[in-house]
Amino acid sequence: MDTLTEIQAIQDTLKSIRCRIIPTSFEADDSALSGFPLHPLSRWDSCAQALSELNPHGVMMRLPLFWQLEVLLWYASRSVRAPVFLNDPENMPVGAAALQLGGMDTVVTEQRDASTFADFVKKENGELPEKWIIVHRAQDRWDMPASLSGCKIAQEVHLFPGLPILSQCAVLMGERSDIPRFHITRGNRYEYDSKVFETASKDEIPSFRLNIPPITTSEVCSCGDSVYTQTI
Amino acid sequence: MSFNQIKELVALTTGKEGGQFYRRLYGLRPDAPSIKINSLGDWESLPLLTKDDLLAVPLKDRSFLPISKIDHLRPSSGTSGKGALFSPRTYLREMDYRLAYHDFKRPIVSYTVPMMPHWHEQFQQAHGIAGCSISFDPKNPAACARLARIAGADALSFFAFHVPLIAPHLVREGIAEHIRFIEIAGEACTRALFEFMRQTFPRALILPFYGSSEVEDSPIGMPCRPITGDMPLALYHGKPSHYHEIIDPDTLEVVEPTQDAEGELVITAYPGEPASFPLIRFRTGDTVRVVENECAEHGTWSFTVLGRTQMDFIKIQGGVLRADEIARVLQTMQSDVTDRYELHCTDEPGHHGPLFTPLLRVETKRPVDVAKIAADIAASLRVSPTMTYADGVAEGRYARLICEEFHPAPGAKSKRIVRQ
Repeated sequence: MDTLTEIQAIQDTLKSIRCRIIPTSFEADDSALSGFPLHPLSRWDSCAQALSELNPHGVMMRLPLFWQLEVLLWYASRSVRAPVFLNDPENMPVGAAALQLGGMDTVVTEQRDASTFADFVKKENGELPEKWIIVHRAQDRWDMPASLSGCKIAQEVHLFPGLPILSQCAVLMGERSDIPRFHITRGNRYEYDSKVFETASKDEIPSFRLNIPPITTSEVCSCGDSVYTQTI
Repeated sequence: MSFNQIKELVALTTGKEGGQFYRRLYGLRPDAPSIKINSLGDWESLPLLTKDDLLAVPLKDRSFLPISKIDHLRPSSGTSGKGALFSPRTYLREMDYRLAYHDFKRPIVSYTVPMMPHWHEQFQQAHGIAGCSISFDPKNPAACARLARIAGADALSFFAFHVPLIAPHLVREGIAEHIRFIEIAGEACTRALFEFMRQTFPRALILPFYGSSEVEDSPIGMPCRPITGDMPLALYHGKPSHYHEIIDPDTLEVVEPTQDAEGELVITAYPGEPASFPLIRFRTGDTVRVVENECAEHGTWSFTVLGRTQMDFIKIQGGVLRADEIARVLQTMQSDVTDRYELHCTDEPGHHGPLFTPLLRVETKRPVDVAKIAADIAASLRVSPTMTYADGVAEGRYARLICEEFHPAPGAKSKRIVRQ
């Protein structure tokens, strides 16, 4: 059974269990879009970890609202005592104003948006915010946005919005390579031989064995975890 | 709020320690003590606070709390060419009135207005319910409706104009009949929208929410009752942490809040600590009418919101129609029209619910083809950074713009935007 079939088979049961729902697609018009259950107390731990390294004053989210990440980002931001501001990705002028006038200094966005928004902000405000959290879609190429060289960046790879499979520790965040390197997100398991990513189970939420795009392991980071890069 | 409480609030917010916003607004010298008010006359002599006053002061100098203690920021659209205002928020208080209308045991579909999705979850958790919300994305209503069905949502909370946007998708997903609670904010609910909601969501209780981006201690008015079809559709009374006044918007004189009195609502709001920005005598820009001198159930005077006092913008699906933007477009057509106009807005029944329907009355300089003028205006009129009015029409969001000729008497005042 492939990943999506397994998830689609449980759709009608999700309303009966205590869970948080995230979409199984980054595209709102994907006809196969389903709901994926997270434990109601689940948090966006990799984001919270990145924020604790970035030490933000204010966190601005530019991810689509239907990705269902507002609540998870709010928890992550509270953990570092930073307010959140939601910026409609289509409304770049207000986003730039929030950076200039609203005390926001950290942008959470996806790789597809980062360069466009950075170029706009640079033109509008004359300078870029220093801190960024970039979400890569698993099926995309995980390239570092060129416009952000010189910024502090934490990068993550999500299989679905809100399901990070790869993230970075402080050491990997500090690397300036065009090809970002990652760790498997904590609490989950990756079977290198079968290329299967297994989520953790808790209470009524079962574990899922998910197929993820090919990744290559090369070495062990000084933090002690294995390092992975995208297999191209 | 009692008179003693507003006295204490003025003393608190004009002290030498803490936030300096009101000291600057009231022109206090650095060594001056805090303001002490002893009478209603003293109170009414305090300057009114406007959105322009807020815009003039950067957030860091305006907030009474360090930014680390702020929960989130709420933007409000710039009007008349001014920039966006970012208002700090801590958390909402005195919201338990909602439990009289709904149990909140199932997930709620919520936009960021009137409350953020995380706030809904906090509210549920505070009442022993495992919190779960589905964030509503107006750009992607079909996806949100599907997630709402999967999660088993039975409640909605967003702008009134979002209802026609998501309704057909909730019907398609087969859950419209399971919706039991709809909380709507924003522009006043029209009769057409109410009838549409009653037909589409037959089991839903509809509760109005009167808030404002600048008012941290939201809502501005507590709903006296759900919307049932009785007129006025939405009826509110004051919150214990608020002090409401009505003023004549032209003379700025205070109007006695007796039955049928009308004027602009001025609000003083302080929810207690933590408060990122206590509001003192803030002009809401909304015209209200007093309905009852004393609401039978809640004791204080009740009111209904008639619309914007000097309406220079109107929120519509996907954007804002701004008076200055209309004037800008008209100024590009100087051979045919002047920039004097009146925009009359209403909702008319459409195929998928109420449809925003504008009539633009423009002053012409010579005989013109008004249909062509209307099409040209719609093609240039921006309602958001990425969308023109014509784009919205093509997407089925709004009715086609209709123009008609208009010849105001020289020097006559005209209302630029009128909501009907």
